[in-house]
Amino acid sequence: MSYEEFPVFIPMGDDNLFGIVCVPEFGDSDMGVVLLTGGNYTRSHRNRMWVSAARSLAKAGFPSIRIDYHGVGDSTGHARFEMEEPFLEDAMTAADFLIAATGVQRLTFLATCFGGRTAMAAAAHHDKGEVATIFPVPLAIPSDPSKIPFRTKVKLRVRRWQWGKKLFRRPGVRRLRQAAAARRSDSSMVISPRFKRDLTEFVRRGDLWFIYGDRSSSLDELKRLLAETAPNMSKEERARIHVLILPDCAPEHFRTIEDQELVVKCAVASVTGDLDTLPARGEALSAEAAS
Amino acid sequence: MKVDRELLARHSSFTDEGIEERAVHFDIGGESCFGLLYQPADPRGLGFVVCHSYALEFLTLRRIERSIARALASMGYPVLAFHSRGFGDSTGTLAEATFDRLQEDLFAGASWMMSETGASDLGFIGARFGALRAGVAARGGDAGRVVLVAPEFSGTTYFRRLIRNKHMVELVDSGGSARRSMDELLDVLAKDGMLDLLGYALHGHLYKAFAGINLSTDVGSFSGDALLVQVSKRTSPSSEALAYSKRVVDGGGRCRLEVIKEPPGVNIGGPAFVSTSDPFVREDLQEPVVDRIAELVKEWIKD
Repeated sequence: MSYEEFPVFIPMGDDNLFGIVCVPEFGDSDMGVVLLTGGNYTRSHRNRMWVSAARSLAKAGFPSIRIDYHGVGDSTGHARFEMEEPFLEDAMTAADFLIAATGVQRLTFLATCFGGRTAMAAAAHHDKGEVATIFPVPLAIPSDPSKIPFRTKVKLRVRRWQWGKKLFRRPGVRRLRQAAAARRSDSSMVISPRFKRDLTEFVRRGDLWFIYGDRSSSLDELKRLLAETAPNMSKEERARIHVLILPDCAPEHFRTIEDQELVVKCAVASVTGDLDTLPARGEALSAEAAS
Repeated sequence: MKVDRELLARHSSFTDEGIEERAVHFDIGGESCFGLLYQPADPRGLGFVVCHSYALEFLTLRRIERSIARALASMGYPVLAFHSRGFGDSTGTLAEATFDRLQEDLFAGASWMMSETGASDLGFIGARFGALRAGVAARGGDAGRVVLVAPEFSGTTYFRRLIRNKHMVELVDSGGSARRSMDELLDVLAKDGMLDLLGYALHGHLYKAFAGINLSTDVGSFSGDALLVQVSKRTSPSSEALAYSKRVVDGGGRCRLEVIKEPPGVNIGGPAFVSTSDPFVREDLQEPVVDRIAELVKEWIKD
């Protein structure tokens, strides 16, 4: 076996975070990787995607840690996920432990979904954070968080019931809702100020990869983010933001084994520096162009 | 790279409220299986093994399994929760995880747990598909206790539900044009040997092996003590739960049947963190149900 795995409980306040440290049998890379998931997935991610990524990274010489957030999986505690409150402490704790256990001097934070918010915050705050790789992440929040649109309240209430879930799954209802959403103005939504702040802070020193699919639902939000942040950055900072758009997919749903393999391949390539070999179009959305 | 093995070893366990949670690895058939052992300070002679579920439920039911394990350990019973070969943090591939190998793994795990803790009697725990696995493992008569949470009684029903879910998503994505009958989908499974169920592989050998299994019609030679917790929108026991319970009693065993009503928004086996009133906040709606299950397990084991 080209790797060794060490399951660990890492103290964090009153809680214990559970994680798996995966170290290569050979190699002396000083770059370690923190693998983060969305809220409802445990450390292995859907269909063991992060297990596969961690072992491939180890084969390439990079150690990693994959964790359960507090209140999730085998970690202790209680969790509540708020889009604007990433689990910064969890990611920082895991990163510090990886450094202590393997001696790495540089860090990559790699994440999907809600984990993207956490990865961005941790990369900005950890002084050893050098790379952040983020798969599609929701970026828009209400401009006035105290005002939730009436239609959203109705939707959430209806969805609490089985008949409501079935209703929303009907193709006809889905088409009607999509058409209504397309007509609606989204001026009530803004790009997360916190994410913008963390991104601006991080690109002063680190490389940031956004890996999206051309059918990713939050692609427009990414475009807005880049258009709003790039003008205030230097040329060097803008050059540190890389956007990779994978053709003909929405990788954030992980709905097929093929999509999952692509996510794992991209995740590993973003650390090993082999992303240019993947089929993608990145030029149209670079931060440089957005500015 | 200088790996601090001493630091890693020091963090492989922690103790809380008298229960030690220890991460372990042990070998089964040349593969390394990951597990967590819940060890009370003064263990009794009965130990349990958790039978994990399949597909997304492998992740989403973990909190229930953990809560039951801690409840039993708090009463003095050691529990091992481990990943079979090809699942989670263990090595191996899912394609090789046949029905026989899954059963072999369970008993290898049980034997490891018994030698590690000194337990002489065995019990199985499972939720959903994990409960089906637990029920099947108990059929041989080796286990004196089983805890079945929201069990799937029939292998066919379980896998067909997963196939139907996949089909619904494809149907919605295609605007209704990708309509296929269950028979057509099963033909694909038979022909290709594998179906991609929303990112989880269902292999034909597993479908075939579980197809003939129904716990409500066959409990084998299990004559021990069962706790069956039905978690559903309905408040009365299902006909399958009643049939299972009756068969256990007829075979000389005992079965305590409990029903927990699923609150709105809760779907055991589905994602635990759900938005309720604010779409940007997700809360664990399953926690009260999980706590109630742990209470029931404690009451049952005391009897």
